[in-house]
This record gives sequence, structure tokens and C-alpha cells, in this order.
Amino acid sequence: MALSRSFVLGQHYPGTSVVHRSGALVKLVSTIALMIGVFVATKTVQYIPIAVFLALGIGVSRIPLRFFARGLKPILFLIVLTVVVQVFFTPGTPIWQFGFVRITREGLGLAGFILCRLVLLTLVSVLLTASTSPIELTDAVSDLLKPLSHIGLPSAEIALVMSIAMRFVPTILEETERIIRAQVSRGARIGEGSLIVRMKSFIPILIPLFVSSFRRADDLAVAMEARGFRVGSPRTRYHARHFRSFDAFILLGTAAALSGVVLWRLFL
Amino acid sequence: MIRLDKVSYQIETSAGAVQVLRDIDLELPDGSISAIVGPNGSGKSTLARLVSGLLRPTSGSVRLLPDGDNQTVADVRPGLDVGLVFQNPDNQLVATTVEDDIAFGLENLELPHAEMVRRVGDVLHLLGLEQFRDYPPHRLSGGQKQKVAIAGVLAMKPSFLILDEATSLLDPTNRREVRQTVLRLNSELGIGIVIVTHLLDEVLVASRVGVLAHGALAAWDSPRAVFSDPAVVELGGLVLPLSARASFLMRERWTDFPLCLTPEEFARATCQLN
Repeated sequence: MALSRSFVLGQHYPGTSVVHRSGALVKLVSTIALMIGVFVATKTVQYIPIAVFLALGIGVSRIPLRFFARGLKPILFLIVLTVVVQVFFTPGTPIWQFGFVRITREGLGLAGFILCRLVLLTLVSVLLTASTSPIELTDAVSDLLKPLSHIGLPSAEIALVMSIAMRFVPTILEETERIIRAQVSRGARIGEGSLIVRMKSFIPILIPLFVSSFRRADDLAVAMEARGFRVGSPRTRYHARHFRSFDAFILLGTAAALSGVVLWRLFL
Repeated sequence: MIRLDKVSYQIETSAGAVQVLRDIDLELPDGSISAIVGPNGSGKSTLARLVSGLLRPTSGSVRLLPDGDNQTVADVRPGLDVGLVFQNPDNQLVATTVEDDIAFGLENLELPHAEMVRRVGDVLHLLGLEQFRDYPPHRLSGGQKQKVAIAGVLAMKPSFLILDEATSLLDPTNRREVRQTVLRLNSELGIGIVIVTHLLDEVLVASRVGVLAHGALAAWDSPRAVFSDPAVVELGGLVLPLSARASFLMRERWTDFPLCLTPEEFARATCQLN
């Protein structure tokens, strides 16, 4: 269970807020639009419309801030590395120098810009996955990909595969922990020694994990068939889609934030 | 009723054709409890899949006959006529929450939304799973997971429920809980139950027990008749319930000692010795 608890990105935080109750497709479209907006911005200040809208969403969602903070944890190393590289290696006007080490005004600006970009991208994703159940999210992906089914893309099957993958993440993590414990109890040394030795020590974990995963997949396929599933056959949906008034607010807010970024970039 | 007529099944392997089952004749009446026992590799699970319509026999037929009507026959539809619950609950739960998993089969049946909501609510209530409605499967105990698997099958309203070693991975408490649930489904809803197992204690509730040995049906009779026949017990490699084994030991001293299938029967018979 320890492994499965350490990933917040992708985890659902159940709730009853208006953000939770909003349509998954609307939230998904909004997230994609906001991400595009993040990449459209060329200056840190241009992130303000997106940041304001995101802060509003986080506040209304009533999801604790520490949940979002935990979501940033996995990319902390990436953030620190990026900031350090930008601060110390960007040429420009020096504002502090010690020997060959120097910090430039441009470096600080660029570090702040990239820091904001990474944080915003992560927080937008965490808000989407935390406020939307996996099954709603996969339904939304299916809806989004539906137009592509006309050119042969199996959108419903892709959504189902995503849903099953999410369902089995905790199971596979538990299985991994069980295999590690079994191998350690038989004298295996996992994660010790040089890089090569450490990599080799994972082979006795990966092989049984792959074997059991394939067996699971086989059993699951039969179980699905036993419950009437046929690839390509039409299915109805348990989760009904309703367009709520807050969905309109999300779409309008997203459009406003995106327009704000674009206008700021073009005219200010 | 489900009728199997001369059902045989063979698979092709690199070493040639392997006969898994041959000439199986069975009748499973509506609302009955039947059991299939036999050693590993005797073809129990293959027979379960044939009865549920998941596999087609190489020869012979598996047909569904409405009660009292021997004329109207139909092929068995998986899920719809016969629900199948497997050994490992972890490998049969598809969705990320209990509620969504129960709805999975209903979505495949293309039922309208309101009907799905009604059926999901009904089976959650019937199996006492309401408080777990939003739970992800990995947060449930083994017994609870197996009950969710049964609920998913039950929501499709099958006439028969096949439990293919469905309790063999559970601890005794969870095993008893699942067994009681299944018996309740039989008595309250009239669902026919087929128990496929190697745990003979579980088949005592069945009206008929089939013993599979080397792909053939060695016996198809009441548990008492099957366990009384040493040839069938030997052929099927059956390890009899403790009370039955104790009964045979008692017969070495008291030749007319009855065959007891439960500890209660054994205690009664022992009390009557003097």
C-alpha cells in the first residue's frame, strides 16, 4: 500500500463540490485549453488570468491545499533542477557573481517563468483528476475521441483500456510489494550496490510481475466476456451526462482566461 | 433447465488434439443446487465455461429449456442466462468502484440508464454492499470482493449462477459468508446454483453432485450416494468430509454405522450406538 499512496497525480479526491459535479468532458476540455494557454504565454505575468481562474477552481473544489502540494512532490526534483540550471547558466546582466558562478537578471526571470509553467501544468492536472472519478474521466476521453471513430479509431475501447489500467494500478503495486517481500525473504538484495547491480536486482521482481500480469489479463478477458462484453459491440453508459449551469461557467471562465493570455501576449 | 447432451470438448495443442471432456450428459433443473467435483485437470472449469456458454462444445449440445417445455430450446447466453463467478475476485473486477463494476455487465446489455441505476441499487441492497458503493476494489476484503463479483453477475438477472472455485482463495470466515449469500440467492430468488469445487464440505447443500474424472462424468447423484461409493471416491480422487471419513472408521467396529456427512449427523449416530 505504501507505493500506491505515494502518487497523488491521477488520484481522485471524492467530494460533492460544484467542480466535482461538473461534466467530466467540460473539465477535460477546460484543462486542455488551460494547458495550451500556459504554453502560449511568453512572460510570467501572462500567466495571471490562468492562475486566477485555477485558484478559483481550487477554492471552489474544497480539495485541501496539501493534496495539491503532495501532487507537486513528484516533480519537485525536476522543478529544482530546471530552476538551478536557468538561474546559473542563463547569460545576461549579472546581479550577483562569485568567481565563475553568477546569477543574471534574465536567468532569474526565466527560472520564475519555467517554475510557474511547471506548477500551473501540474496543478491544472491535479484539479482535473482529483475532482473527476476515473470512470468519468475515461468516459470523457471516449467522448473527446468519438469523432475519430469515423476514421476507425476505437475510442470506446481506448477509454475502457484506460479505465482498466487505472483499476489495476493499486493491484499491481500491491503485487510488486508482495514479490519484493518474497524475494527479500529469500535473500535477494533489492536496490543495493552499484547502478548495474541495482538494475539487475530488479529482474527477479519484473519477471514474476510480468507473468502474473499476463495471467491476470487472461482471467480478466474471460471474466469480461462472461459478463457480456464483446469488442466493438455497442454499450450504454451508467454515468449519465448532464450539462449543468456550472459547466457553462467553467467554459466561459476558460475562454476568458485563454483570451486574457492571448490578448496580453499580443497587445501588452 | 439447462441440458447437456453428449457434450465433448477438445483442444488443439502442438502435441495434437487433447480430449478435455467427453460425452457429458447432465440436466440442471431451474432453482436447483448442483455441484461438480473432481481433481485438478479433470475438466471442471472447462465444463463450467461450456455450461455458461463461454465455450462451444466440439460435439454435443448445451441448451436452455424453459421449465416444463421440452420443445423450445435455445443456446445459453453468457451472463444473461448463466452468470459465472471465478476463483480470484481480483481478476474479475473491471471498474474502479464497486458501483461501476456492478454496472459493467448492464452497460454490455445496453440497458437504459434508469434501469441500470435501479438494478445496481437492488443488488447492492440485496448483498449488503451499500456502504461500499464508492469503494475502489483494492480497499475491500477478499470476501467483499467476491460478493461484488457475484453482485456484478447477479445484476444481469441470470437464471443460473456458477461458482468456479469461487471460495477457494478465501479464509474460512469469508468462505462461510459467501456460501451463505449464495444459498440465500437460491432460496429467495430461486436462482439455480452450480458449485464447482474441490472442497467437498461445500457440496453437501447440493441436491446432485457430478464427479469428473479424466474428462468423463463418473457419477451424477446425491452427495450421500456419491460419497457412499468407494469406486467413485477413488476414481474422482475425492477427500471426503471429516464426518464421512470418521463414519467409515466407525464401520470397522460397527458395521451398520450410517454414512454421516456433517458433524451433527455424526454426533447423533454416535449417541444412538448404545
